[in-house]
Amino acid sequence: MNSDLPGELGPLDPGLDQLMQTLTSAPSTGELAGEQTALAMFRANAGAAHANGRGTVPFDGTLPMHATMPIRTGGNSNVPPVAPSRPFKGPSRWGLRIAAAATVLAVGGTAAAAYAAVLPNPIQHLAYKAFGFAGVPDAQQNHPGGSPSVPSHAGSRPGHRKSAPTRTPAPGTSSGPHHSPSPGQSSPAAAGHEQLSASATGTQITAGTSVTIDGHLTRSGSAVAGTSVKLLERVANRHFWRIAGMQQTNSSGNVAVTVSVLKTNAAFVLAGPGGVRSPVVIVLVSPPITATLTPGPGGLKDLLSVSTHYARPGNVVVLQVQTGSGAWLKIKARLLNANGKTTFVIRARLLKNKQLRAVLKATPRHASSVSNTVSVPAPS
Amino acid sequence: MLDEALARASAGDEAGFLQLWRALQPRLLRFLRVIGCDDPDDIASETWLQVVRDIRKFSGGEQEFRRWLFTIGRHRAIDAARARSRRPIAQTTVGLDIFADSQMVEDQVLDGLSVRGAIAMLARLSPDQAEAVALRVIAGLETPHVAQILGKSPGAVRVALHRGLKALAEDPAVIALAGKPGYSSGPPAGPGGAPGTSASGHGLQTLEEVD
Repeated sequence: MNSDLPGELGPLDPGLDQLMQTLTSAPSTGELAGEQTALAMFRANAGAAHANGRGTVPFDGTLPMHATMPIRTGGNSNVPPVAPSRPFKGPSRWGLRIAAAATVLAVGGTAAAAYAAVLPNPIQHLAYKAFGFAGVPDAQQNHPGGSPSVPSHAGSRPGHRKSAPTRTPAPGTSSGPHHSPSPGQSSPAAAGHEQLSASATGTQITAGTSVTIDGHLTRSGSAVAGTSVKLLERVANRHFWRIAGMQQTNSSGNVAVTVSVLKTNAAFVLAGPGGVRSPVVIVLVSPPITATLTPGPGGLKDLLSVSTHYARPGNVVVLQVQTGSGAWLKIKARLLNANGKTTFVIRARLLKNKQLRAVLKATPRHASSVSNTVSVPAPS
Repeated sequence: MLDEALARASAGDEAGFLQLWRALQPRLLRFLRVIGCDDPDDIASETWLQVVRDIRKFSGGEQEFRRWLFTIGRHRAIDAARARSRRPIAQTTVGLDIFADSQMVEDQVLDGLSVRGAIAMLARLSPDQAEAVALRVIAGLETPHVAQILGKSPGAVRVALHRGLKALAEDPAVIALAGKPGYSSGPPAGPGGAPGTSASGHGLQTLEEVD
């Protein structure tokens, strides 16, 4: 259980525990994107404080409150109705923002934040107005996706103008061990108009089988031959990328790198020279699963044994029965034991002549799998 | 744990401030998202602006600093909501941001539950429960401090916490996180339909009773 959770709350069930752990998990790169801005503000204010010679007073837990309205629709009626401390707040808020922008841009070295377009929109816009001639982008011009070779999903969501570009540092440049950076993406400047595509021979394969990642390297539209391309792999529940293989492009600029045994879901990226990267290719694996029906004594209680490979103890297996209309209905579920197996007791009297199958539910490590179908014989 | 960093930051040490910021900024953003803030990055930036302006006047430990930070953040968010209501603008994306995810698709696949997904689950609670749980769990505040921020009694906060956690524990999406048997999600399956989905909850119940 997460250490942040209070003891008085008592033990949590697994789902709730996982939720709490996720809520308090290590920060993403996007959440730390404003670090330089904050540091610039701190530097500027530290200097001002020295000049003003401020003293230290204890914090009594109260603040000048100018909040009278709940945030969420339907509202929290417990927000204290305190009168506004500033009758006209608009200019003051802008004053804060302008001060922040001036702070950021006045401090040497922190203009990089504006160039990197990691400032909040209003500040970024002010920076653009003042320093746009020098290449500072406008807030509205930030393109989270960045380069043409960035996967289309990388920055297509609304409301993430700052986080996406900084979320993809190159291997070895991660700012923390818990981050899960993708292995860098190409930019036209770094890659010199090189483009690297990637595709998998199968986006969902049987666990334990091989997968080949095909790539095509071009420079200014022409195939690039004889260039080494690395295949980077990030498997499920691992927060780092590793080199899974390497190959030189052929005369057509093509490359095909094979991973001989893939046991879990994985993401792949091809990395070429000059920092060029392919879009991310995800390959899901389905663990093989088999169902075997063993008639019980008198044919009354049969035993359905389910066996899997590459699944984990505790993974959920669902027993399904086929209805007359052809739909599959869930009967019950069991957890896999340490050997990757589980059993279901079948009441043949109720399920005689029915078709059964077992389904291994998907987890972050693997996709779902469906077993063979077995028929329940009628009791003798 | 952050007491030393706090002391250094109060003395003007940049490394101490950065340690504070790195530890608390993500949690501040998550808290702001839970309470429905439209632009958490902007509000967090304003919050830290006030912190760096007044940190020299601050004295207290880590818990007091957390309480101070999240109090400022909460007030800034409420101010922003009030300002927005004064100057309503057509924003088709209001409220949708919480469902967007900064994680890339491959990370969602590989990591399972994302932070944004977890925040969305928490935000489905009633406002007072969501805020209490967020301040207690995400902000890491002790119950009396949560009570002070919310203007409630500690007992009322404990009740909100328990009810909120109970509601979360009964949320089918949370149950599914644990892969609990008996839960089936997704659309109804047709003939040969998607694995792991049942054609109807009612049918499932009936069959379970039969077996």
